[in-house]
Amino acid sequence: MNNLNKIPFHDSSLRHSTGQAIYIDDMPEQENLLHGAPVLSKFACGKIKKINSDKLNDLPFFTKIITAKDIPGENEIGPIKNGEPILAEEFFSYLGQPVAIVLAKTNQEAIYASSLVEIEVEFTTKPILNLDDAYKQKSFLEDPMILEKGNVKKEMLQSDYRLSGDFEIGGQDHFYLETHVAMTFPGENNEYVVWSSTQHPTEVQHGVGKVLNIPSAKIDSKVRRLGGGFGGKESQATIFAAMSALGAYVTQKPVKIRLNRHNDMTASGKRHDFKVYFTAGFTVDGKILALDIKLLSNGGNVLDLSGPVMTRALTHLDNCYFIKSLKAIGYVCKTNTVSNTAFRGFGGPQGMLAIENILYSVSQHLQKPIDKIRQINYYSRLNGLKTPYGQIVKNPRIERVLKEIYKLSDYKNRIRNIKEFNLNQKNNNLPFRKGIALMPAKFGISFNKPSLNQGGALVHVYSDGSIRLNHGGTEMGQGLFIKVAQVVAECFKVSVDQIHITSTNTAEVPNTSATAASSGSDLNGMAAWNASNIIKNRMVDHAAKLFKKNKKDIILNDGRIVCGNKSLSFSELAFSCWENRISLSSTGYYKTPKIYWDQGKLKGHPYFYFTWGAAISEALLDINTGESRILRANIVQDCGNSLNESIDIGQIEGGFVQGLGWLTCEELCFSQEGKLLTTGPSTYKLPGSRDIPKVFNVKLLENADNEEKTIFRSKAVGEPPLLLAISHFLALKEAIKDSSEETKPELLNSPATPSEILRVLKA
Amino acid sequence: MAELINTILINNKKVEVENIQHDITLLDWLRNYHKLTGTKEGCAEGDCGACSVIIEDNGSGSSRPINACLVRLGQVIGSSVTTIEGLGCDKNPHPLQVAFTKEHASQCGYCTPGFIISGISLLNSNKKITDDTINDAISGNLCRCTGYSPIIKAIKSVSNEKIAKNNNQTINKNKKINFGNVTYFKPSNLKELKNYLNDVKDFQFLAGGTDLNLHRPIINQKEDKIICLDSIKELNSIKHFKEKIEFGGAVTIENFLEAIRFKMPELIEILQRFGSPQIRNQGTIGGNLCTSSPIGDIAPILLVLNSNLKVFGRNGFKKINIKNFFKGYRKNILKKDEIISSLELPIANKKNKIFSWKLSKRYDQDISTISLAINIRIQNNIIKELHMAAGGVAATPKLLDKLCKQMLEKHLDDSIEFAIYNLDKFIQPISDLRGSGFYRLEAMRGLLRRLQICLSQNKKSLSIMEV
Repeated sequence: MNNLNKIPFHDSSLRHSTGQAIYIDDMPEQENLLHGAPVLSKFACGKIKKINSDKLNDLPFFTKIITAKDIPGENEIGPIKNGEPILAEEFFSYLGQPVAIVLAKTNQEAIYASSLVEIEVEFTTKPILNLDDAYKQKSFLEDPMILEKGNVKKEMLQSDYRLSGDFEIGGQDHFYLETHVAMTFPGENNEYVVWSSTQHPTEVQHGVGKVLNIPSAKIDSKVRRLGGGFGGKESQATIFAAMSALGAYVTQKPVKIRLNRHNDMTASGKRHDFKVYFTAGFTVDGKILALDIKLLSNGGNVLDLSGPVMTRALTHLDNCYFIKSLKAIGYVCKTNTVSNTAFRGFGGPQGMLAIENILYSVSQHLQKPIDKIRQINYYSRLNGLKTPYGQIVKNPRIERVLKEIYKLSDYKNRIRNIKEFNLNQKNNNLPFRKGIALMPAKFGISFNKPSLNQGGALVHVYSDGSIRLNHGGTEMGQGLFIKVAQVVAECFKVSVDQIHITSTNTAEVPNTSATAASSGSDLNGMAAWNASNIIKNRMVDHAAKLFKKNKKDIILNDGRIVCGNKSLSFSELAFSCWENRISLSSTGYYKTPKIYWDQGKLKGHPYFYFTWGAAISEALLDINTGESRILRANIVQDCGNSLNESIDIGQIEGGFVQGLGWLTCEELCFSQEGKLLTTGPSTYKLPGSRDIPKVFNVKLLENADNEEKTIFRSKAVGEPPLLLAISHFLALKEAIKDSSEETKPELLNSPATPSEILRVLKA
Repeated sequence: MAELINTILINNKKVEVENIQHDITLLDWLRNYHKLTGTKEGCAEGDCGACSVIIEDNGSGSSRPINACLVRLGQVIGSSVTTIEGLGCDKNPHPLQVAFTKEHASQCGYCTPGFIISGISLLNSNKKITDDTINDAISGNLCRCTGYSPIIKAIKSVSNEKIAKNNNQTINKNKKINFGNVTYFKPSNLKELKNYLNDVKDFQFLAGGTDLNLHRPIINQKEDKIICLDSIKELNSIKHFKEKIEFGGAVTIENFLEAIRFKMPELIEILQRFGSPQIRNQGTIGGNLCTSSPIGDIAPILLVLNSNLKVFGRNGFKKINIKNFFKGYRKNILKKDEIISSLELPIANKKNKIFSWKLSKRYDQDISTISLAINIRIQNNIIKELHMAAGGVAATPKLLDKLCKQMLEKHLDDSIEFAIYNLDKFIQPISDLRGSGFYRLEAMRGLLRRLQICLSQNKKSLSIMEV
């Protein structure tokens, strides 16, 4: 795309920097606004005998308590299955579950008052707090999912070696800097306007409608920007939006709910932690002939999006490798912890870490470098191109990506240097070890559920030539708004400054999908292109009439409409169109072609295309203390024909660092009673500025137009870079391997905290 | 006498503090009473930096970044506060705000104002702008979107840009401030403090408040009397002597760090990792000791240097040794009316070597899982003098004197082997969310190995950051 000669910045960047960008908590407050704070359960499971709010009566300020009894509609916001209340009614099923909401005139008063409400409980069953217990007790949120290919039994028997093992993959809190927040304004005739920090305004609209028993048409769900989402505000935002709407319904006053960090971390879902059990059968060379694998994911107390998360984990288990026979069973475990949810990668990173851990163990077993094992297992015409779920990997770009990254990272020389460094450390009785490792990655783009793959946009051209853009995607920092604006500008051949970006609003574009699955620009970019194109065609038709020429003689260029040696400015033509009663407004719609999926059999063609990428990371380890850091990272990512290289590089760097956090320092700790202990940044450590690689080079794959017809042949970018951080996890294993003769790096669980690393070193 | 009006200078404008029903934080006041919404709440525990503002005490001339969520409004009456809105707006932005745009240093933008406040504070200091000083300056700010590199680039691209100094408007510094049920008393010297100690009943002391304010209720239902220590002249003094430095109890961690930067460079790394600039500029050394946390990054250092403390109370001064200060988990020997008025930091003998190490999940802005301070003298590989103290291994910071005694007069290698082998007889650390008991014990053994290498191979610190 060549809309501007320079790449536009994030549309809000200057206002971010001056503090003028308005988030929901920054919006002007009406005089009669009430603030709400949730009352959270103090035990992991049980029956509610009584909610005692007597103490609120003694307070010198106004309060009002709201419980499930006040809900006029259904106490239900499950995005997939029913049984997911916004407020616990009879039973509660995790420690921290919202049981009531207390309203007051200030947020401080509401939070204080909420702490005075007592919940009298009757204990029923013993809580289930970990994956193995859930599995043993067959506590599942849905039937096991089975992905099968070939004859595992037979191939296993024919393998030269069989290797079994297990490992854990920890969860992760989203830690968006802006906690969950929503503000609802009641209007006349049962109308409600809900502003919420959501990735899915339509689901908020549906959830509020269900809870209040009001049709969607009466509810406008809006959001200008989120202070970070990362999947955490895909389905979960609806819970808190519905709470604010319930408060507004009961009091008929505007109600805002903004969670404090402690409540946000306690009462909102996270990345699923997984436990993996596997047996792999392979040849002497390391070719995987059979993989028998069991994935346990922690769904938490209710299903939420855990089903599709498991589906994506299962369909990313193959990563870049052709696996001859596979039997993978996914169990979504039901535990008495907060319901886990979408998080950047959506199960993909867990599936891919699983196969990489397995390949690492195979390489250890055969005493060969993991890259050698990978090399003979990659998808290729020789090995095969059919994924376990049936989709063909048409043109794998893995070779191109690897060639590029080997070159950029000076990989081979560095492997040698690191061996020398480690030997030198060992000989001098020094504690440092280095490791270097590659992570190749293939990531499927599209929601696994075909119906979600649709987008809508609404474009108005005004008679002064200014253009107003609206679409179904939400802006959470990823730069979607500027990318879609670029698309519109390119269609009309005007400067991107001429496009006015507006808040996402279900009243303007209805029935939208969540901004998730990296699909934001694919879906909304194409929808906006289609809307713009409809208007453009009408304008060009009119211009042809004005110039008395054929339509094909009209050229749009640099804000002007040119025909031979005559021309009009875009605004002149817009005005003329209005004068001549030509509509300058259009919706646009797009649905992703080619995809189909059988969720029962886990077969089909779920992904419109794949993105490819690779990273090489160098890790440093202190074998005395278990401390570690990343020294250098190179990344090559396939973004197709990038819509905005700067924005894409930002996504790659940020996603990679988020992945580093997941795999190293971010550790969710629970008490034996199921209480989350890490409920703030003082105890839950996400990466800081010193935790990034000192040498950090990111490159987009060049000349890499998408083979599929996406918007300007670009590719999605949001999620895939996160899992490239697995390169660092593997580099840590390499460093552990060189610490002494006897170490077993394959024992390393994620996150690789100093505690975990030292455990492995001493094992 | 009529009560003086409480005023604060915000972005160079004098603002009267009115209609405050409850004792609230500076952050809530800025956002809710003045709609200065560029300052964000990210965590309300001083760990994310989204609420950073620059504060300048009336007349002090030195500005410093702090977390507005950890400071109560009553603490900053009479001070000057600069928020993100005071630096520039889209029509007239500060060069650093422009740089953040140009370098794509914001994505969701929620953390951005806080980073800019930290960046400006660095640019306004006399420090050289390097990757290292930038990382220090933003160690109290979290960004979840960008992965930090563009932020570092943006700050680097704008060197030597200083903001205009606040004009010298003088504003009232009231001695008694009342918000809702809370009364703040602000003595300006020890004599005034003594008067308050005699007159005021049931009070709490407050120095910086970075710990205490975390535990204070969001709404004060009961009456609360706070005696603020930060304005007391004597408690802010730093006196250099030949063999020691004497610090007033309310000296901030940051000023403590700067005062010893060249005299005891061995301690700089651990102090640089103490909280963040925002915390170090607010928290005080006396306050750090008085919280008596089992970790207390400063306590192990003072223990191995055999520091003396001066305690001040209703009955005047008394002197005690740091060894006798801690009594149990978050308990110390101070009576209700006593404070640490000063502490001395003995400058170690040149023949001695000082080490101070901290292990945590994250390098910056994290609480130690364990820490270890060592003061050692060896002669011909024989340990002649040894003091070790550890944090995070017991209910209080722990002087390992019994172990040290057994290590004396032995060959370095033998005595460290002995210590490693027998360590579990001297410490029995527990498991918690910062690390397992197993880890604490093994990592402590690892630090002893590190000590051995440092001494035998003449290495300064063997920090993972130096590789």
